[in-house]
Amino acid sequence: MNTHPENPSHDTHESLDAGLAVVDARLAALARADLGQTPATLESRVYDRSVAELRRAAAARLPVVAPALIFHVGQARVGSPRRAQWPMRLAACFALLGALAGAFVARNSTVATPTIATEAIRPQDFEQAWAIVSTALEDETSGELVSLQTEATTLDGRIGSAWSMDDLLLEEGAL
Amino acid sequence: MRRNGDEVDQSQDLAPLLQAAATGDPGAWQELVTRYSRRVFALAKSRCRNDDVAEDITQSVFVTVAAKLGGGEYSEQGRFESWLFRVAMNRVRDLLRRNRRHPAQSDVGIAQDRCEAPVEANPLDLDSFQRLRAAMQTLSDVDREIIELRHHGGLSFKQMSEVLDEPVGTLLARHHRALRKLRDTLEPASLVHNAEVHQ
Repeated sequence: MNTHPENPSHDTHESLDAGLAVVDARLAALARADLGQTPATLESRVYDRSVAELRRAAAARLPVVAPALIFHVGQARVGSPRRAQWPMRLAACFALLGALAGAFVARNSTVATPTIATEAIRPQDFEQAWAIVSTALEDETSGELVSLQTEATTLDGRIGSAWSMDDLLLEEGAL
Repeated sequence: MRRNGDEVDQSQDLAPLLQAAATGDPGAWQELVTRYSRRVFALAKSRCRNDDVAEDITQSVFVTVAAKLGGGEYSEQGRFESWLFRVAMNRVRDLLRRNRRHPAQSDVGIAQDRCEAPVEANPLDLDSFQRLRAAMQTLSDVDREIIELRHHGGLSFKQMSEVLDEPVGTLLARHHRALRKLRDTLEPASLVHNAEVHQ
């Protein structure tokens, strides 16, 4: 009988009589011919597209994390829960996410102290928000987000473009 | 083509390879693509007979693999090949369903099936291959899947059992039946021979 040219675990069908074995062998020859017809550049195109997907999937995780962080920051707000304060608090979170990206850029294994803030943020808001974000970040850095380090340069840009103030205000409306 | 000894080792190093690939290791991805893309392509092309469509299917399969591995949705338990070819079979089935629903709009159709001459094939083989492909079209979808998974995909019966969710014994019987039908289609004289044997 035959062994598949590209798979060692391909087994044989021992019970075939001679006539069926001939058909089986013809099928194997046909498969070999088809395998031989594979376009020369197939592998490089498949590689490029699948790696692009892998990077896209990795980069897409941060925006999944970000709304959750914003929600948590909102839940932990200090003082009056007036809705007028939401943009400010969301801006704080935006700034913190910028710091988060910075931490990945710097390839720090520990969370960097945020240095980005806006004038509208009260110190207690910032501290409270950061405490929650950093806790979440510690959980994430022990897992999959560590792999984003290699994508850090694009991450920073993604956050800057994806989380504009318009997005934040929309988020505020949703909340 | 790889040698058998190398191939035996491949299954043993698959888990670390998949783990590396999931983290985006370019070398690991290259190795995965090198190992499996041609088999997926050959399987797809055997059914659709169109290079572009077969490549689209192949790329789609590997994009799915990348998304699942990268997203941590797959953990290797010795069934990667079965999973990979299950994804591939599902893509092929989706395509065939689309073609049957919208034959006029499809990019490839069963009715447009064409037998292409294998590169560097012996002219005598060409006729043989054409007749064999034509005979394969007389098989039911399930029987044809077994033939194509076995020969183009290069799967073992155990792996096919995992792909198709059928017992190995059932697949062996179907494979036997498919071969008999192919033989009878290719060589009608064998029908007479079989009838005489059974009398």
